Amino acid sequence: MTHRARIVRRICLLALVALPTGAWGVLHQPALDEPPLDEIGLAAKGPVRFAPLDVYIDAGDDRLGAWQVELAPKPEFAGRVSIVGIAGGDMPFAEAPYYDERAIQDERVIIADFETDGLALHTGKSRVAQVQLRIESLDDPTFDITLHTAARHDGAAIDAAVEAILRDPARSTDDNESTDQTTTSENDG
Amino acid sequence: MTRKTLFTAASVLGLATITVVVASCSSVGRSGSVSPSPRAFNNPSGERADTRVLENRGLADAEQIYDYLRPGNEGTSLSGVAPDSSLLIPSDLTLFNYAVPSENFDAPPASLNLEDDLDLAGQDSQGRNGLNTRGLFGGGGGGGPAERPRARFTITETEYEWVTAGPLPPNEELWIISTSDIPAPQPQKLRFNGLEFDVEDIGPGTLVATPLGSTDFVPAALQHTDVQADIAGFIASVGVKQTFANPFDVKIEATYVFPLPQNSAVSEFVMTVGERRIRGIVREREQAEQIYADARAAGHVASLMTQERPNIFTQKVANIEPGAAIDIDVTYFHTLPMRDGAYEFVFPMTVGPRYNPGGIGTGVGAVGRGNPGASGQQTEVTYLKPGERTGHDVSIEVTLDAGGMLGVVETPTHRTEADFSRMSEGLASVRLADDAVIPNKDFVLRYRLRDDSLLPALITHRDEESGYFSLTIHPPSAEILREKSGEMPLEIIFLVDTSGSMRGTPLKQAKDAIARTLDRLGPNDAFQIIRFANESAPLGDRVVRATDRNKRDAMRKVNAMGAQGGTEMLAGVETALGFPHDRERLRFVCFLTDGFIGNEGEVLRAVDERLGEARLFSFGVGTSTNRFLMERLAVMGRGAAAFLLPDESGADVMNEFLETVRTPALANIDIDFGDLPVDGISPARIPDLYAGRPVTIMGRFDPNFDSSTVISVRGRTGRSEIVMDIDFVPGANEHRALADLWARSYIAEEINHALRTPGVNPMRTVRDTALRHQLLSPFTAFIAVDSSRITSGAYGVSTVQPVNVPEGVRYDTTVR
Repeated sequence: MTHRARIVRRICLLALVALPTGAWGVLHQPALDEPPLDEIGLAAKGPVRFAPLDVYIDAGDDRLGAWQVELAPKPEFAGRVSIVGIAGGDMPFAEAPYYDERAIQDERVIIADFETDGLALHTGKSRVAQVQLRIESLDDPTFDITLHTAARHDGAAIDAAVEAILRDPARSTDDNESTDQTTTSENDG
Repeated sequence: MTRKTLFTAASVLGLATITVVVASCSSVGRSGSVSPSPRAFNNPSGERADTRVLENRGLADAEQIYDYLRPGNEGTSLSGVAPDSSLLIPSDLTLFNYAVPSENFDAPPASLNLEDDLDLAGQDSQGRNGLNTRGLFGGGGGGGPAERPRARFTITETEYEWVTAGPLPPNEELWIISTSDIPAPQPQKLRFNGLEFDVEDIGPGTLVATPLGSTDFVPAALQHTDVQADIAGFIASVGVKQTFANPFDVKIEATYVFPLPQNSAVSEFVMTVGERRIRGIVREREQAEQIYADARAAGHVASLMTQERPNIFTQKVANIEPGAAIDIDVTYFHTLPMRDGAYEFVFPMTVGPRYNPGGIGTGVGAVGRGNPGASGQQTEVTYLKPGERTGHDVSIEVTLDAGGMLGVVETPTHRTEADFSRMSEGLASVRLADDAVIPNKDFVLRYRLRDDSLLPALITHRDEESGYFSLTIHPPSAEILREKSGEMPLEIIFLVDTSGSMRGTPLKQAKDAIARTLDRLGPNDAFQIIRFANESAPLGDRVVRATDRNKRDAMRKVNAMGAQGGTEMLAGVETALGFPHDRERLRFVCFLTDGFIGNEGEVLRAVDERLGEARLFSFGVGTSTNRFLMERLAVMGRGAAAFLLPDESGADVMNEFLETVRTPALANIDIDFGDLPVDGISPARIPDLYAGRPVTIMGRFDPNFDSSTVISVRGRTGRSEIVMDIDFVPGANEHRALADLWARSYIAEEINHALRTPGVNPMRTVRDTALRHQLLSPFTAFIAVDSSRITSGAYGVSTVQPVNVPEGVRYDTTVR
């Protein structure tokens, strides 16, 4: 394991301990034809399929240097969504981030990464990770998502928002946001 | 009876039939519509290629489907008990299920678009065009098969006919079964570099590429293994990159059975597809296997790593497209053993061909290319024939930070390039001189610290959940032990493996080792020699004194020994440990073998049950010894393990052995942890301490314990008691790998405990520990899926990576 990887893992755990977890203010945007949940129930447990969930952080005018995100399927999708891999996002967060070992057993993902090279960082919206999912449901799952940490490369906290978009692998393109499932949340800065 | 025309069928279809089976289902579809839930049945790896398993159906459902399928399908069988019955069905059947609406209906609703949902004009699960769908239909509201009315579908070129005996009840699950009417494809030809290759079925779900011509080059998926090892003190962190690529013109699945060190804590797994790196997740093994099967069937690139033995693993990579490359990065930690003053790092490169006694199906089979399934074993290694090779090669680089001044660094097995300019700082680096080494023997690196430098006895680590420690107990010096106890005469039972895999250098080394040991025994000592292959045979019926004449007679018989036949090790162990014992002497069983067996558990259990006052020393002979067996035999036998590499002198190794056993050990060791709250101590039974062979104990402690304390180690040698005090300071010599190393050690201890204790099932403890620490284990597996993209076509040809037999081992005497 590289030195950087060790540091990332430690940051992930430290941030988890140090930061409040009250940012579960989740905005859920239903898909166009999504039926009411009470009609879905467990009966809608359908064919097995796989789909990626892209995780974006919008850092506004700041350059995003460090982040920690927690996400989990909403309770009505419990048992029907499995995490089957975690990929990196776009540069400078292309490395597959480490995940919290205990959370993953509950199908929760807590991931984090950082980049100290300020010149490599971006402002605005960046894809920081992609969670690989196995879905046993006719309906696209939705997620609770929390941005625990967003900071510049020097560690200063910044205001940012996190967003997760479920993509359709059949289209195999990154330009299909408009009809994919979106879940967003903001942090307190 | 009702009769309705439902829709116009795809014109490409000839006369065909669809089978629909209605089965009880607790889950219901949404009102007013049918939930299209086509769900291919499970196809776990390991099933025959021409059959598939439909799992976890209720017994009534399974029986009904079985009743329908059986008459014309000999490949169908039913097993299991309610509610989790399973069906083995021919693989050319494709099953889909639909939830029946909550109101009664006597015909499929218009929304059931069979043409689209079943892809009748498209490909079936085998990638064949067109389907011949046929069968029955029925319902019964949870009743048994006999009560269920049946119906029939018929497809013509233009019409789809539905015939049913009555309305279907709600809350049912409707199964549609279709078969292909297209003849099974002829064996595929794969093309590579302008050559054409046959694809031969070599076993459960697997195929292998075989050259048609006389070339000895065998194209295969695994191209290269790169090993980067960082050693800090006596803990190694090793990164292994396996590069798979598809050299063929069709999509493939690659399967590779490979070794890792037996005490590896495999904690990281990353699959790289193009520029994308996907970190794998540890899941329960069955769950991971199911996810892999689903991903493979759905066309996603996926990888699965499972543990077959503590030192044997299987890597599977699905949906590798022609020309594509996929890397698998595995990271593991392990502690390095110290033998006679030297730490030893080993990277094994090939699994030796194992022998499995009759009646064993859970072993590790050894088959040649083109002979799939011949071993009948759960795990099977496929070997290259003599003269053949794949393009797979290995590069290794080791960086060493010994933690003390380095005295000697050596690599007895391979030619290397090294940087020894900073030995006084404890630093060195070594790499294989050739970046393209053929992986057919263990890579071994040994290092000694200068003078009497010792590494710290205590290493600790704390996280928010627990504290972890590693405590290395160094034995008192040989002089002190002799002074306290004196010497006792020895009784040595040599147990020699003369099976086919020992032919050549290994058996010669074993004979040299026996000769050297006998040479150094005195007339007060005693010995006997037992050989085993297909059966065990002592050279005499009792131990004899080590007189010159007896030694000469014994060596004459030893030199006449040849190597052939199987490895009935259990019989050998039982004979050795049951041999009449002279209690005036210290008994040592000196076990010389390559350890190439698949029934390790049986042998280890026998050692534990029959050891008595004896101590068992295992000597691994050859280039790719089964080190798991050797090390575990030593633990169970309360002795030690040693290894004779091909170019090493058996005399030197046996001299050290005799020095070790001539010096009394510190036995009956007890550790007093004082006020330090500890649990999870591993090994639970502290082994005897022999001169020059420290023992490492691992455990957990309360992370809130913040003060220093003293750990006292007590042991007896002869009539004397020796006490050693070790300062315990939380936070001392931090190493973050310790949590994973402890978990790996604890898992081994739990499995050992289960071996010793009939009726104990370690599954739950091992699984939970492995999941908590995200480690590979017998009951957990790494899975990684690239869900972002679906590759085109069916999942293609399954290929098994053929491997080399170990250097010095003959193919014709070991491989089927």
